[in-house]
Amino acid sequence: MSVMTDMTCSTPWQRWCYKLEIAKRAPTLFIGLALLFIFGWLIVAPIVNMMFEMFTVQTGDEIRVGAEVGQLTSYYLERVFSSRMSSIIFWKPLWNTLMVAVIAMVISMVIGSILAWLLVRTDLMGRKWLSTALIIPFMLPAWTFALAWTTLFKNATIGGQPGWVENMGYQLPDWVSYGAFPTIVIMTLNYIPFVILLVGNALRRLDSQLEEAGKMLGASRPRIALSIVFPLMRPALMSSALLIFADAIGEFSVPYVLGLPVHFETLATSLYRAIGTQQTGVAAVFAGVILVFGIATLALDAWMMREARRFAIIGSKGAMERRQSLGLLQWPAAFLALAMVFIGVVAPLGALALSTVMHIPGRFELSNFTLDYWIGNNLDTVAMQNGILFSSEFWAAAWSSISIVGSASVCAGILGLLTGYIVLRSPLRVISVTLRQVTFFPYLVPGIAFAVAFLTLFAVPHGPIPALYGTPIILFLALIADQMPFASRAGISAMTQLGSDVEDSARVSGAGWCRRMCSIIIPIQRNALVTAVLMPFISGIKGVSLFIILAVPATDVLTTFSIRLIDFNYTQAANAVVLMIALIALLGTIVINRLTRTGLAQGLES
Amino acid sequence: MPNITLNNISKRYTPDHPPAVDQVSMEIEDGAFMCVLGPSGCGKSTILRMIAGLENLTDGEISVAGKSLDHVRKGIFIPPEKRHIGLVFQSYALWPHMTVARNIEFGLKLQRMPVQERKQRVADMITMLKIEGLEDRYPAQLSGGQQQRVALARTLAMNPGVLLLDEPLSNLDAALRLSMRAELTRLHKEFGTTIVFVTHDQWEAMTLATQIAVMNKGSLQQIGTPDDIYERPANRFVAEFIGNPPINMLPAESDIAQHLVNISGFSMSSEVVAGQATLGLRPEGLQLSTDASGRGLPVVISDIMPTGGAWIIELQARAASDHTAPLNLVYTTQTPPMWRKGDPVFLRVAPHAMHLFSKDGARLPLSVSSKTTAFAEVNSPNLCQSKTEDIL
Repeated sequence: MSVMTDMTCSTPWQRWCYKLEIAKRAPTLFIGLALLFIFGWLIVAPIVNMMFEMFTVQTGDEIRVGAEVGQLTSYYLERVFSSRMSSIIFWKPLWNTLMVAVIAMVISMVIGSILAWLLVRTDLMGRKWLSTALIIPFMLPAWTFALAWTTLFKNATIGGQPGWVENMGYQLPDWVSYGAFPTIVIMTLNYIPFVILLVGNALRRLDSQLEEAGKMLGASRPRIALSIVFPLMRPALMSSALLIFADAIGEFSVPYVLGLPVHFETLATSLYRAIGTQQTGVAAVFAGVILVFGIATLALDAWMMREARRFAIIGSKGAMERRQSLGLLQWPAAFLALAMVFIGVVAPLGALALSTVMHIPGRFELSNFTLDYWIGNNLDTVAMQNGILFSSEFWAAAWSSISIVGSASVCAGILGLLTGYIVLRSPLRVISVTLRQVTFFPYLVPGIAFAVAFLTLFAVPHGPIPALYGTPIILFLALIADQMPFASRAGISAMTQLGSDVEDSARVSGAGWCRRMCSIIIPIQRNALVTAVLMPFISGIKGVSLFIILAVPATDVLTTFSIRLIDFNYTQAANAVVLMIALIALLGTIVINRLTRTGLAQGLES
Repeated sequence: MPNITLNNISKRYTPDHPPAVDQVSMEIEDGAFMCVLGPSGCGKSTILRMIAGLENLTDGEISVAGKSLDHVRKGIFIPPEKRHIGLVFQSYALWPHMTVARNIEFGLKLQRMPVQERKQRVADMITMLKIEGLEDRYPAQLSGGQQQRVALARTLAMNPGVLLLDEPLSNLDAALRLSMRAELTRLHKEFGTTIVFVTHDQWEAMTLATQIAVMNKGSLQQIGTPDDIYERPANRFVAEFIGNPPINMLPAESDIAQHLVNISGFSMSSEVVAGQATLGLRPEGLQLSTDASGRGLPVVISDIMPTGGAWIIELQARAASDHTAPLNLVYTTQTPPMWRKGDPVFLRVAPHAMHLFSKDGARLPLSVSSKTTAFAEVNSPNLCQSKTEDIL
């Protein structure tokens, strides 16, 4: 056998030409670059632009600052951090924000962990049913519960319809009705399901043989809990704590509903106030502070997860799940779980639902019940003459909610799947790493800060792009960008599971790129695509932060519509709208759970 | 006419790691049944994927029937979908959302084959690979062997000039392996296709291939017929990789090695002995006898392991003059051994079972001895031939 060997090597230029030839044949590189461009524009540019706004003179501030628009200035930073006003406009809200976030985090961690342990590791009665009931609050918007609170505990301080309790003849002090206390309670209730999901999942993965090995060596039960279970659970516990903290820092809707009447301000509500009074520079500083907190917390989380990986649990083979018998503790445990279901689900949703069919809150007389707020006609109120199901405003808002959020979610889902494809198949590592990080970036940025960033960039014309404020397009774009973390995660995890063989074998069979996408990748990833569309949809439908900043009455959506009704003190109708939003979110979650057998918990972790 | 030509191909994933494939050249003749054999991670699958176009080259050229598919210096790259090369993946890579029939049909549809003809071809493939009755099943409902047949049918339906198989028998159980082996040989004869397959399993390589290319750490070690590879290993790696149980290796300078070489009628030059050479002895070429007069090396049987139809026998050898630790040798035979553990026997080695390798692993010739060494004077007075010739 003769082998004629040509030993001359190629030059770098020749290798480059060869690579270009390959890139031309597989569009991965070009799609990757296109995605980078899109996300650079939708995600990176707004945030970078907002950073600039902090340091440049904004329109309308020329006289106050004493400089031309666009000049560099430290005015906004000084005003926020060190002026005579800063204790009112910044330090007090910062203190409120941190206090609420830390307390809500600690309480929800304690209660959530106990419930997770009861559900996963014990023979608690009815735990299957409870584990579904207890995570319902997670599927609902947080401010649903804030509204439920006002429905029940509102006092006469701000006028309008009083709460049930007050109507029953009890006087409530302001601190119960508004401000820090209810904000903490509602946020805690909202985060408990999150802890149950994350910690419960980690507990489920923890091999009970590890505990039994400790038992065999003669360790007592507290000893096992302290030196085996807790250290192994620490990464999951820390991670959920940090995620809760990061989320709580940027939470807008709950303090907005419960804090404003008593001037209880947090960073997010201060920011909203700054936007409302045209102080874009100051708003940018607030958004920047929230952003720094978000990034720092999640960077800490990422760092700790990396540390935790060093002691990956060995030998998951034959992992066994043993449940501890609760014995006499069965009753108090069941009581705790049921109480949480009552406080977190039954009471708030029940109160909201009942409030929509009662003229005067809290008076349980037959004559007081009515369906007017749903299906009434020609009502003699100032706010709305028809029940919401008969009001054109409601249907217009519902339609624009569904069409704006829906189309944004479809785009986000497709972009997410494409991102997953490119992240795994890109010939250039730098593209896949950048895409993965850029699409995750909005997760670090609380919605309200992101909305401000979007506003600062797209409210004014830039090059060929006209000013988008007031159009549905700005909402559409902001939603896509804001939902990319979920969509791209869904896409990446789906593509990771697929493996390249399936696509390669189609390639060898003669299928070009479009054909492979249409006949192989998308049909196989059908469920993942639906998830990548539905997850952003749910989160978009129930979200407030983006809409409250970016929507105008012309682009009314369900959330802004209901908040406007709250502002009018037209509680019954507002609650009815909120219930409709909750219903949509709940249905969407159920569909996702049906489609992906893995369920919500796994989706959260990846 | 040469069919597939690999000209000096290299693949480097990262600049700071050794190349996965390092300047490999080979020609695979039209109609050959070529096996690329090597331990895992030696770059053999990379070569297969490079031929299919799924992996890019860092350097070199691949051509089929004289037409360049990859040519780094000329900037030529033909994408896999235009190469008309069949590849059966190790994982089979059946499309989970298509039935067996649709899996087989997919490539034909892309070729725009008329419906009638297409249906006929699918039916033919199903008959030929004996998967009748499975047409409407999904891949998840098939066993491993059935999946492989479908994967083969899907590839063969395209009537490729070159068929690449990645570890074709490794996922099958023993009985299926035998029948699949027969099947592949039959298909090779029937279609006359050039087949290239990769495997780490020497049994698979030896029983299927007409040509074997042995690879290690990205570079080609030897190409030859299965007999070539086994009987005349080009270097120490090939000798050690081929053969089961593996070849015995002992330092050439040991008394035991010199004794065995001498009684077989060979000699090793003093440079070879001084140069830390290694002597390889195929376990199946050892010969034992109880006859002390045969000038064999006295050894003790230290263990007998039956493996069902064959026996692996461990021997312990200690030269009288040697103060070093005793050497262990492995001997294998298909005749039931008549010894027991601890029995003393005498060992000789068939000349064809001896291979000598230099310190850096290259094959060295064993010369038939003309002059006798001091050791041989005592132990092997005859068996001499007058002229020196190389045994290769």
